[in-house]
Amino acid sequence: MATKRVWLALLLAIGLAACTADDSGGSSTTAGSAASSTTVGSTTATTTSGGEELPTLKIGIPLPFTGVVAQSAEEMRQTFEMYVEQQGGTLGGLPVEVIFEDTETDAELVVTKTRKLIDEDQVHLLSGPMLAFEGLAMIDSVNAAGIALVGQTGVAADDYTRLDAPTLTAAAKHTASQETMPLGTYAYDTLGYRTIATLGQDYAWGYQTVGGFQFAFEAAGGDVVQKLWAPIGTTDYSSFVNEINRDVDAVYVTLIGADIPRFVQAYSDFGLKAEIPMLTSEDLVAQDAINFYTGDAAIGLVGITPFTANLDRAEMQAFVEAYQERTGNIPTFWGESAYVAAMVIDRSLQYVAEQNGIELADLPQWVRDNGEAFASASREIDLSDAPSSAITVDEFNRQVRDFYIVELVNDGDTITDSLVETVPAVTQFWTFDQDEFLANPLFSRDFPPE
Amino acid sequence: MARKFFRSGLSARKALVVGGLMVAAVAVPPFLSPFPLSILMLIVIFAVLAMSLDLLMGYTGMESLGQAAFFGMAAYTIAIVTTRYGVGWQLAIPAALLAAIILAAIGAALAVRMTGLFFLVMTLVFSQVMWGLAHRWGSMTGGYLGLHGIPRPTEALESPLTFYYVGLGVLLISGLLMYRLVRSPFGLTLRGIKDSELRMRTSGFNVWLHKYIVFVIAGAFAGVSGVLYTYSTQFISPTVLGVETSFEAMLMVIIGGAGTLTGPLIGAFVVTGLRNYLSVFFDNWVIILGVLYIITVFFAPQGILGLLPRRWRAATGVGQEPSAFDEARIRVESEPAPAEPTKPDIDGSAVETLRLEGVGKTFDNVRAVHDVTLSAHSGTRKVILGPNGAGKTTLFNLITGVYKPSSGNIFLFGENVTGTASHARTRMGLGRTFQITNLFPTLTVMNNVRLGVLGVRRKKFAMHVPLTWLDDVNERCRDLLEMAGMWDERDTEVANLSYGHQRQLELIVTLASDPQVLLLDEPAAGLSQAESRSMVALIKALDPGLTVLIIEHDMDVAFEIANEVTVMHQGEVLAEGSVEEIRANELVREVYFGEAYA
Amino acid sequence: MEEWVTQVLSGLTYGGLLFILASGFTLGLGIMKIVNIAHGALYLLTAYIAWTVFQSTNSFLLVIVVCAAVGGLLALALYAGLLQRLHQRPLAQILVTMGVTLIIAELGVIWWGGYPRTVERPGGLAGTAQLGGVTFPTYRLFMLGAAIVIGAVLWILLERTRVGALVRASVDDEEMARGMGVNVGRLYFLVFGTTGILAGLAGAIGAPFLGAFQGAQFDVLLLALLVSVIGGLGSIPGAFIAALLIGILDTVGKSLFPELAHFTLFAPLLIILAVRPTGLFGKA
Repeated sequence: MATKRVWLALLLAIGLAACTADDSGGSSTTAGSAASSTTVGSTTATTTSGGEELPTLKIGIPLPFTGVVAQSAEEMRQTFEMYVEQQGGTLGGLPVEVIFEDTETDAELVVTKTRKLIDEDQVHLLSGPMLAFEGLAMIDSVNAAGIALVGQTGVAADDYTRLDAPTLTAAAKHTASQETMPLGTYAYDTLGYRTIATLGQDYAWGYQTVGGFQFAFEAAGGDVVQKLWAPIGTTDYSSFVNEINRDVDAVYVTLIGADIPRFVQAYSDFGLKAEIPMLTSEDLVAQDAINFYTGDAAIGLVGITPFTANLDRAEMQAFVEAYQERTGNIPTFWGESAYVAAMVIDRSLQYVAEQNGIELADLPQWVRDNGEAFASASREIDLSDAPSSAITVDEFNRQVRDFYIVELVNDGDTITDSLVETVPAVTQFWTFDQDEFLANPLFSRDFPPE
Repeated sequence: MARKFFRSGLSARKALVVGGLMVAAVAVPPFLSPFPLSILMLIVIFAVLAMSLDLLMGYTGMESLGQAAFFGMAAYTIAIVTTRYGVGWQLAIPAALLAAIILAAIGAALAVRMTGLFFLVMTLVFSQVMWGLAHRWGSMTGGYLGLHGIPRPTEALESPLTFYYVGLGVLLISGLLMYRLVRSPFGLTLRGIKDSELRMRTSGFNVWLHKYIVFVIAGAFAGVSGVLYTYSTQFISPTVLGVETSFEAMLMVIIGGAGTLTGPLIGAFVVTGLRNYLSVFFDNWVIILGVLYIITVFFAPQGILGLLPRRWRAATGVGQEPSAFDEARIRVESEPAPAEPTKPDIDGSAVETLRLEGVGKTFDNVRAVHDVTLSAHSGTRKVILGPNGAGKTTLFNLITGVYKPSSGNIFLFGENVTGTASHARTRMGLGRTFQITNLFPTLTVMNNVRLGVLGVRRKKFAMHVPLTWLDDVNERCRDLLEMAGMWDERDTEVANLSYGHQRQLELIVTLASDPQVLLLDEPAAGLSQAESRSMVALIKALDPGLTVLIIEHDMDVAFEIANEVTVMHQGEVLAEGSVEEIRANELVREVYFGEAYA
Repeated sequence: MEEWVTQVLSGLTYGGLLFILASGFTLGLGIMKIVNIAHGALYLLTAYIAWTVFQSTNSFLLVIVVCAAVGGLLALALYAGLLQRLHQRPLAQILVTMGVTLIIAELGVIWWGGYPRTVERPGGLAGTAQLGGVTFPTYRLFMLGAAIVIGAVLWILLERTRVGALVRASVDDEEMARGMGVNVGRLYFLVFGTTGILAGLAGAIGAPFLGAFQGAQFDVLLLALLVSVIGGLGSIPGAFIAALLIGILDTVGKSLFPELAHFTLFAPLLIILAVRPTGLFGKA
């Protein structure tokens, strides 16, 4: 009797696992949570015109498929694969095997899985990760192996510009402060705000987005009079909302995950929304954030973002359409970053093969052996047709790109973003002198001071 | 003979298995690629952590959810002193272990007096405070992002294989030290605490102190694991201090098999392996993991180790389920007690050993015992009579210190012990048996008696010698067991003993602490006629100089033993006197015999 | 002054939610001695269900009914299928309910996706209310009100009804209760089903405030555990007082010492436990 019940439970569970495994490719609501190795595109081996069989390029991508951000990680997998399929299953003319590893949103596993990809799977290059702490956790292993890392959203920290990471290219992701500095200037010059209170989360992305905003806002002449830091996973934001100085012209906020709707709701609940405008980074105006706002608590939010699906740009519309066709969902900056990373790999391969006269057959091994040269190639390639903006890459292998200031508005019964202004060709140093900028410490809790 | 042969055969087989595993652990890694090797390294690290937790959970019965605090403390200490202050490993490692030990000493002070869920939550809250500290003290700990780029002690250790062997060595040494610990008298006291804290206190053990010590030791080993961890991953974040780490360690212990040292090792292997490999092969692997946990409980309730054939298990020491009641063993000892029955007279010159002055105890306004004054001397055989609820057992609990009296004073050997702890009274020479048998059911007869003997000896704290080496203790156990005719049963688990033998054994365990004053709470209750006779014989054979107080309902038993009788009613002393006097007392007949025989 | 009133009120109302989250857990722990790690997972699942039901029907009343029913039925299934045979085996209970937690949370990912889901506040509870010059969100007041109602109903059930008397008798002395002809087994089903209903109510009422998100299964469990132990296992008044206390500690602590957010919650709890090891209302 008892035994039967347990077996029933077991069968049920395995059945469920199997079902979801089956439709993880197409269904939009499914987040395939496990790592997998996919040979994208045609299953037959690609051959050169001479009929000689080509070696497969192996790319390792660690992403957090289990945990709070699992759905966005899945989006990143989808867009990466989408790009490869659009190229007929090849990158730079080579057949590709992409090995995705689940980091489970755990810093320790990021290290383990990175080492697994490098040592066990013998990948030729790495891409990813998704989250800032993952990037910082894996960079030591990447440096030690001298393998190229084509960064995705997880390399947004300002740190890399000052770190020794020669094999990293962040062509597919801007820095944290790069995004918010233009908003700081805009808040002073265009919106006319003079005093501002800030709220950020207590870790690098929070420090650097808030820091960048404050740095530019104060350089323009404004004054940040109050800085609040909330722990990640704060369940009740009422104390922070009530702590905000009511005399400021505006509030600047950066948050991630389930904290976003909680804060925005509390801000509206306690009546601040009616009194003080709120400014924010990409996180609060992205589609995945918009999806979980309820009521009109978020209407009127002004944010700066590298990505909006409503952008009137042919490349963007093509990207959104392709993704919608594939999954039924609207893509976000998470997916775009992975897509651009695939693009960077594709074109860098072509570039290095051409420049160094390497046979396709030798290309994978060459990439593995010349991580730094491969990463640097991203400076030379053409990325003017990336979905969200024409991209160039600076001497630190960092993105130079357009940003968009948007406002959340009511569109019938859904919330959508409306473009307010485009800020063209922003570098990681914004309008500041490179050397002076780099002479400052990294943005942190205490810099710039309140 | 056959049995002995069989046992030695078992340990040879066990040695073969362990040896084989060890050879594999040494010989296989050079052929492994780096990823499996790194998993193996994690297994080694978490095996040490899980073993340290098992000292608490499996051996002492203290289910802690705070082991991550000490693990993380050591890990963070290494990371901080090496990256922030450039301290070398020669100093960093001792500093880390010291930090873990100090933290464990503080944590133990807070948590050890609690039991069960309260202990679980206290350790959890304690480790959460450390987790909060790691998050918030960013200037030192690197906050949410943690610290990275921690160098290994030497250049040679940067090689994963070399470092693995060092880790394996540490695991081996830690395992041996812990093995030694659990086989020592101190280790036996831990198992005793797990079975019955009350019995331990009654046998003269300061239970709190033993728990405190083992908590700190477990913290130190968790620290060892933390040191290995930091040097292995060369990166640390607050996750290591999180409840997930503690919980995972707990899962390893449960899954492998609690109460053994091999169990946590297997658990670490299975849990770490599954966590890292399931995700490589399956979508939605978390569901599979969940189902495996459930299956483990129902199909391997003793952990994976429990799945081994019974005979192997015996060798590894996993608790076996009680076997079917062995009829053959229930035979009353036919040989009479050795000494001739004596019924010592109260000598006028006898020393007063126990005196109660106006002792009372009130529970929630209910008067359980009121104003009891009595006195006993060496040689006294005092039977305490009274109907149910007369306060007899409460009186024993007051004398032994289980309860604190609401009023009055208690003197033991002329010393006022009213505020003295239970175990300290035992060491002064007080012994006690319980109305409901109170022994250590999962321990063997021999170990039960050993605990009785150790209770009043300093050797109970010895951690470096195996039990079998304590000749004087073992001799004494043998004498006691032979006196009761139970020597042949020495290797039987107490849970498998007949009830009659359990009652006898409890008396023996009590006698093992050489009490001068002995309190027996219904020693013959529930015994058959024959068993009861053999119990009486045992009591009558006691050293005539002892003071013995007996609660007994069986009149035949009572009057056969007693030379003094105290009758209690509604918490008060109704009458006192010799057997004849009490038999003749009108009042007693009315209240007591009247009721009892109505 | 006004700011302090708001802060304390925030703390009290948050505490109300904490009580709802913890009430089922403390009952299971105190009365049945079952360590139900899956309590947080039941919250998560019912909060997801709350989202779906509200999306399609827009009826908060229906959300509450459906969540309570699902929570209760799941708890009964869990008890009948697994926990019933694990009495007095806390380690086995932990392992089994941990397994159930993993399964439920992963099903949440499969069926609802990994994104957080927040339920919209129902019409009448969406705005703000005036309380003697202080403007305060209505939904937060509703959480406190719901907590008071749930607490009162539980208290009456336990202390003032025949079934409650039987339950208390079984807790005090199970053997005696059996001897007196009480069907203890059926009582336990009833009690564990109730813990599930309470988890479901927590999911329904918590979904518009905390939301359903991966990680909630452990966040909620941790909070429930703290409230239960600080209040004293199984004590409904204790859990109520402890929940309000923790709510105020958390809210006021964060505004007084925003630097020390985790400390201001856990350090006072450590002190309370050090002084009163069995919690505020616990029996020794």
